[in-house]
Amino acid sequence: MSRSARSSFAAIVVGLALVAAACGGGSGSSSAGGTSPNGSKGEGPPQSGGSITYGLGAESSNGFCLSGANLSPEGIQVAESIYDTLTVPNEKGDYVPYLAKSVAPSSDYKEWVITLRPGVLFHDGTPFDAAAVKLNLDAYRHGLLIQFAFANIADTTVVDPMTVKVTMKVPWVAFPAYLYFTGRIGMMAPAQINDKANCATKMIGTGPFTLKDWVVNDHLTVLKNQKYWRPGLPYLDQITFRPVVDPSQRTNGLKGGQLNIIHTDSALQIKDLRDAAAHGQLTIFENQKGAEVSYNMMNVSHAPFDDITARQAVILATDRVELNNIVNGGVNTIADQPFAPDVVGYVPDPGYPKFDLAAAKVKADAYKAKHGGQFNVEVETTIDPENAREAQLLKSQWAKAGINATIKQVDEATLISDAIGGGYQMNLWRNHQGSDPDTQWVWWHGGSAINFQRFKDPAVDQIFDIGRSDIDPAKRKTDYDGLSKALNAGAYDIWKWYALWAIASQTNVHGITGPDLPDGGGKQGLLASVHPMVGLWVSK
Amino acid sequence: MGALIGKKVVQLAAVLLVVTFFSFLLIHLLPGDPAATIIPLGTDAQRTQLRKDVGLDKPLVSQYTRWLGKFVRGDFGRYYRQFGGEPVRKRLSQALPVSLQLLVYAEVLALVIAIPLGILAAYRAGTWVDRFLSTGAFASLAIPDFVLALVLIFYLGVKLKWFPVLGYVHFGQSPTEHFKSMFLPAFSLALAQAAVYMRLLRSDMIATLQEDYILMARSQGLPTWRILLRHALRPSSFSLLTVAGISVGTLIGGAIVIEAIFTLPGVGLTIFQAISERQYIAVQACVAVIGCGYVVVNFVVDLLYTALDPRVRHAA
Amino acid sequence: MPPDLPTDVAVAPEVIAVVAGAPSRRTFGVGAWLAVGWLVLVIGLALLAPLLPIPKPSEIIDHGALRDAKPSLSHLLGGDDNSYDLFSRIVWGARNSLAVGFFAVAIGGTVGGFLGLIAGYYRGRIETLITAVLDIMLAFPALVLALALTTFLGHSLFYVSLALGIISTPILARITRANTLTWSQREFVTAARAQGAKNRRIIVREVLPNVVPAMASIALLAVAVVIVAEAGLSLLGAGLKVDVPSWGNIITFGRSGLTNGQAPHIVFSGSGAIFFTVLSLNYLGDVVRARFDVKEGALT
Repeated sequence: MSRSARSSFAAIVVGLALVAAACGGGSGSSSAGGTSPNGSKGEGPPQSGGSITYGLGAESSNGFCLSGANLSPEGIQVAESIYDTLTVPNEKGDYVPYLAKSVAPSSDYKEWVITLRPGVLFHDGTPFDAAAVKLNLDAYRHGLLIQFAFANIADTTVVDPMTVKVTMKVPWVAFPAYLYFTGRIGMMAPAQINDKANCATKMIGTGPFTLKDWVVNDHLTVLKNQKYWRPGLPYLDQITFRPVVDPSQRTNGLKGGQLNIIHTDSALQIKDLRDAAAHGQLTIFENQKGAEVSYNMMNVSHAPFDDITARQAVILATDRVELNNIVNGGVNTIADQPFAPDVVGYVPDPGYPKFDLAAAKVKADAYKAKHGGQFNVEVETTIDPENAREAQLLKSQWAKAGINATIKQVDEATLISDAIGGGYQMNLWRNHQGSDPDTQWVWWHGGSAINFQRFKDPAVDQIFDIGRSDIDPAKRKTDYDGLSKALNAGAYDIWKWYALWAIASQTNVHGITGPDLPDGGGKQGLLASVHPMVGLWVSK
Repeated sequence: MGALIGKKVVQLAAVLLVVTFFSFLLIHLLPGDPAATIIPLGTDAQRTQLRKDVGLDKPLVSQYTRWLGKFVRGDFGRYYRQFGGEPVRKRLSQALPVSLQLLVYAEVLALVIAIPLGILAAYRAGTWVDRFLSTGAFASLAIPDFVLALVLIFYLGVKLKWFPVLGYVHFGQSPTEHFKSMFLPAFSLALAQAAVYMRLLRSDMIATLQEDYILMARSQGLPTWRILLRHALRPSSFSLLTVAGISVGTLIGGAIVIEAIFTLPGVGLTIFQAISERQYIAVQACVAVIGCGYVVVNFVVDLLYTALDPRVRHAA
Repeated sequence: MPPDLPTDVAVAPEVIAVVAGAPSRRTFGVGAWLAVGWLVLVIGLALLAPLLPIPKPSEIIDHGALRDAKPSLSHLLGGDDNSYDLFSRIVWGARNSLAVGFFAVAIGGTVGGFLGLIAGYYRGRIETLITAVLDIMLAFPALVLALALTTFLGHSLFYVSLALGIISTPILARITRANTLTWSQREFVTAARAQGAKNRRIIVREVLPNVVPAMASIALLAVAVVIVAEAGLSLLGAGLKVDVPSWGNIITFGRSGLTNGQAPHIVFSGSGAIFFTVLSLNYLGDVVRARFDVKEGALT
């Protein structure tokens, strides 16, 4: 008796402990996850060594053959550790040389000369030289999506081992911004580019970390680049990136200590993380500079949105404040245009209509009258639960205006493929990270093959054509002021809000904003989700 | 006996054939052109390659024999990514041990919980202890494992930080951390199973305790624990062990959801990720591997049963 | 499979077998009335959902994040993540979750019952064939089979029910066959045969009515298993479409509210509904077996 009784007693005690734990919940107790509650301030001098696990919201399963890749913000984050770009934005938003020593235009901006920093080595020991840069740029000119961005390049030539000349078709003022292109234009080693079979998985760059191993959907580990061209950097010995797709599990992993740092764009998680940070359990860094905009984009080549009445109806029927309150807990900032307030092109009043259910009904009825009494919309979105929630709410809102929506859930690759192929009516999208507005040319110009919405709007095209070659920097800042208005006049999109990214970490992780730039002038400007990996360090 | 085993082996082979054929057919259930569905973002060359890999242009039967030929040689196809894609086998060979560990731990945990409680309930049959345990077990059967998992994550993982809430630690890396990382997933799966086992053991044990030899042992004044463990448990645990073998199917199904929740890199997470990435060739391979594995487990359980139980041996 | 264990029915919802296997002494007492009461309540609410004075399930009832709202008289369970009325979601979810449960088991009962009767009554080759087919269907773990089918077929109510119906077919076929075997040997059946009654008539008039209680007891358990499986599929993104309210979708979308402790009531409401329904179905399954003396041996 005794033995079995004791063990069953033990089991009951475990059971009771569970119940007790359940009752004790919700008391917001601060079981400190770190040592210094205010870790973000006064970090002290960086310490070398240590390794961290970085939780990301998505895996880049298509790999890192950067020229052909279509990287998500999470993928760019990984690329930041392995690759460097020729230019980076500084804190003022200007593009300054980084891996390049200088990037200089001819007086008519038809030629750009890229001079390289000497002594830089790829991870495989080969030198970073002009031939490598030419190889990279040529690869990008043929990349899946980036070819459209680089379509204005006429030619690239090696001038000498440290100099590359790029010739443009029309004068191109914003070229340095394209050399960063939201962090996508990393410089790959020729060995990687030429190894077609393994280009996506055998990453070789010049960046602060070198690839150790990558098991898709499980982890990607990088090690300190001992021969990094920036002296004393990086600090960490190792970073392990781990995809944890469920946003709440990512937060839990951070709180539970399995992840040291995470990346999230889920407003509800950010709210939760802010609370935890206020209790000193972790630190949070948020960035809304150059934010991407979340919006519904409509395909004007396809019924029902080939009719502007239909587009206006859904725009008027969408109560974005309500949507933001429910989906994001009111955390995000409503957007009336694609440009964030700190970005060139932003205007205070872009003429986006206010939510107006009565007007929406009138438009919807007008559409129905023209089209046999029917107004059906198919909204395409990913299988991400937060997007799915948003789609449900949109459906609820539009139902009030008599618009009947159905939700189609697809994986991300299919969503993008449908956007490219035009096989969609409307989708939930996020894009247009702040940068030089010229970098948006590919998305909206009538001459671009990846204008997913398929409109050819003379007003929009004219603005882009002027801006691209306007060599007067002062005037150029206002060239794009009419763009948002033109887009809103066409009623092509339902703008919703600026994306908000947060990087939350345990209190002993520091250096998220990176070290000062190598040539001085402050730190790298952080746009949207991306932050440098080179400056991360942990205090012991 | 030999003939019986021979017959069973033939049956096994037949079942395996049909299981693999069904798994193979899954691809053909996809609406439209499988190649276009699996590779939405890619080139025609890649789609042509997939059609060639699968042999979509050939008649169904020869497609199947080709597929089966590769399958038995361990070639489970590959992921179709924008650039190449790793073989499914590579991923599965890493995932299988994790899933097997999870299944074994869940099974062991269930037995560890069920056996003492089952004995106690039987010994105290009819008392409040029995009623409490039996009611508890009956209630546990109605708690879905994934709900239990979510509750445990919050209370034991996030609040109390006793156990990690995600990920997997290799045994070689740190045995303690390994078991800690497996505890919540295994326990989530084990609870309902434990309830099943407990109920079964309890009823068998109550029957055993009525047997004459137990009464005799009692009258000889043997200590209670000795009677329970030495004399009553063994004869009562026969159906328990068989059921434990058979419940592997429930555990496998449950493990898919549990692995997805805990980001535990087993076959379940692999299949979940493959579904969300439209890697249907990989899904197909996982289904085939799970199906075959399950059939083989059942076969082994069946053989053991035949070997152990004289009644079956003679009946055959 | 070992022939004389209750677990022979052990099927996928292997649990069913074992739940069913434990000898039951349950009589139709207070517990059964509670179980019936709960089921009547849930089914009644589900059927009457459109007539009830509750908000529509996809009607936004608050402009803010209602999941923070406390339950009140007008919103019995408060709100969910989408500021939908949670009680309404549960009621409308019951409609779909129960629909899947009953529809799936209806498929399983019809197809499985038919196969079981044929196999048990005619025996011989046809029995061997049917048994082989059932063995094959049982060769996949239930959830894996359902997951595979919904992944490749689609996520409509019909396909999800069909997938779960397919997994409940062999369960019900086996129990039917076993009981048909027993009843076919009884005197009144042999007598009917001797009088030259047609086989079809004997099956329908003499055998089937006697087999129904056993089928019913297992069918109740199968409905429970299907309801849980639907929720499991939802969590994997392979269940009903997201805009169809179901208990599984409530749990799936309420998940983050539980694991961050901010809104545990969403998951608890969804899983509470599942818990009490499954509990009631299991209990009634036990009672039916006890009442009609469905013996374990009969499950062979």
